[in-house]
Amino acid sequence: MYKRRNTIIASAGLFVLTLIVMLFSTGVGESNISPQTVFAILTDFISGRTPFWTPGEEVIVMDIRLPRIVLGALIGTSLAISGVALQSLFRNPMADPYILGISNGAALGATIVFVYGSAWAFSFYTLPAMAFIFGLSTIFLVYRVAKVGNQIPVNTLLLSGIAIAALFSAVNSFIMFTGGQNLQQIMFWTMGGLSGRGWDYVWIMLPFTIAGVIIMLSLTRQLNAMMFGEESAQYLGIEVEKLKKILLITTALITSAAVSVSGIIGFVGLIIPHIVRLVTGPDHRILIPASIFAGAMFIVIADMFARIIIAPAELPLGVITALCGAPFFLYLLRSKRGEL
Amino acid sequence: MKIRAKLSLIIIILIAAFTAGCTDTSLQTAEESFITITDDTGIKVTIQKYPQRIISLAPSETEIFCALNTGDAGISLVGRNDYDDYPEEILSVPSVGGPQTLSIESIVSKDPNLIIATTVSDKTTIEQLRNLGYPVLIFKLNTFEDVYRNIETLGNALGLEKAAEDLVFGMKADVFEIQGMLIENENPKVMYVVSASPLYVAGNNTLQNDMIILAGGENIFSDLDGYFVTSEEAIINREPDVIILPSGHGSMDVDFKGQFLSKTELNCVSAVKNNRVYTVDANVVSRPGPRITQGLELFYRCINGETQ
Repeated sequence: MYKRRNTIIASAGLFVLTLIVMLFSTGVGESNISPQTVFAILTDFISGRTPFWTPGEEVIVMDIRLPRIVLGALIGTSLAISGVALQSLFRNPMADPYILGISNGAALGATIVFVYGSAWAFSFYTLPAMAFIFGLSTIFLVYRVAKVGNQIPVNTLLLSGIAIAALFSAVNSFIMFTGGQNLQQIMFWTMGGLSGRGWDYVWIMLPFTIAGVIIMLSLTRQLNAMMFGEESAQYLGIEVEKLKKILLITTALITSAAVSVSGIIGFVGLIIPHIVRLVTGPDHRILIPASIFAGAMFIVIADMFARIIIAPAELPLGVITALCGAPFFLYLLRSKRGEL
Repeated sequence: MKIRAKLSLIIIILIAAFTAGCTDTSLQTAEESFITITDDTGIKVTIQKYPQRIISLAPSETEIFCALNTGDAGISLVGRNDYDDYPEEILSVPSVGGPQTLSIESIVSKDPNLIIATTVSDKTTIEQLRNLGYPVLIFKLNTFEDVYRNIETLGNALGLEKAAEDLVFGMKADVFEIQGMLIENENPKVMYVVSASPLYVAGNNTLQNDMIILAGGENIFSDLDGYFVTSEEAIINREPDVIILPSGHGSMDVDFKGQFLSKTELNCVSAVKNNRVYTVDANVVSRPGPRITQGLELFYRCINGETQ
């Protein structure tokens, strides 16, 4: 039975666990830095202790690893809660944050920057801005196409999402093929990653994640009602069409933001909700808080492996998440058929 | 009688020997009108002796082809690829496409006797050309030795063994001369950045690794093979004294040095602190052709602080 107190205890426990994972991962990489040194560097501005570490170690911890770990946690959280929201909205276990074509739209925006970018004034923000705008526009387009009167039938939404995603990916291939430049950069961006992301990216992502978390936590009851179907939710006094719109807008915003800073990181939004659901059950009041931390931890750990497996070279993060995610998902599919 | 018989016998033997000789020589010419060359992928390619109409599918092959004085030998380039830009006179030769956008029809329409390509060229197109009966030589070009071998093999295929030998000899002499020049510091730590974002660097078994070593430096990323994406922390951890970046890659005009130096977290690296981040002409240092010795000289100047 659901108890508010248990949820709070579990969330606090997961929060501490996430912090430990993040702290541990800050010490791991090309050069291993001991946990004591990491801790001393992190608390330096409070303790004001004289550095016993090298300036290089401080830069590695403060300006390179910490921002990418924090960013990884924010993105993991964003993708996981978007996945929960969309799986509940579509009542379809295969739904993930990219189901309505955000990734294809964002990839198109990024490709345009990579191929024609040098012809324009190219600033640091051009790439995330274009990916974000194209991702959001895709959802808006899908939404407009699927809208019938004042309602959005879920099946129409899915189908128009698939069609528009296919269209965008064709345009994307066309530009890549005819432009012929920077194909490697495009490929890397598409596989997703946190390599080289500094604090600027964290500040871009932070407001979206915070807003997304607050909105999702406030919608847990409505999401629970939706599990029994739109009609039942209506009888329970939920304004279903309004809820759908809120969910669509929220997930579109946070997913577009995530894609714009890290590229397309697959499988997180799909498998984290399923894994958490196996442990906590389908109640969104515990499912959402648990997914927030599980998503964050999954990306932070996956990124740690991306950094160390073939060091000093780096693997794209999307490769690791799919490599761990896909077999696990297949296992779930075999062992839990009909329950997902 | 006896003498006549002897004489006729001698004549018969002579005629027999002569005709035998004739058939022998005609057989020999038939054999010698073809030459078999094993390319870098281990495939035996039979080429008509000697090909006059050549198509090059890579800029490095075009440069090697031109450096062999093929013009004087009456051998012509009838097709090139989109990225060719050196020497300038080959720009008047029609292109048959880019590395991944080769047009098989325009290649066939040029009626070539030999096609030269590298391991980077599109394999499907090459397979199709071979099935159609066109001889294709594929070269693998990772190191200076690979380039020397490429020049010699192409020289054999074109019947220009002497020109190839001279070219390789001249290049080796240049390398030897640079190796004998003064070195500022013993084994400075050097890295070559291929692109700033993603952060691609040159590891072991690359042209730039050879250049760094021959110029008296030590490549900080020689523990992995080929080109790969690395991280800022690996650079900070390995403390390069000299960083070399390309400029003017392909048709793009991207300011790699600006992009690279905008990563402020790298300010603690000694190469950045001491203002020892250099740019060199991308085509000269990354195209595995006759100009690699010029590339080596550029590397020597960067590594030994003789730039500007």
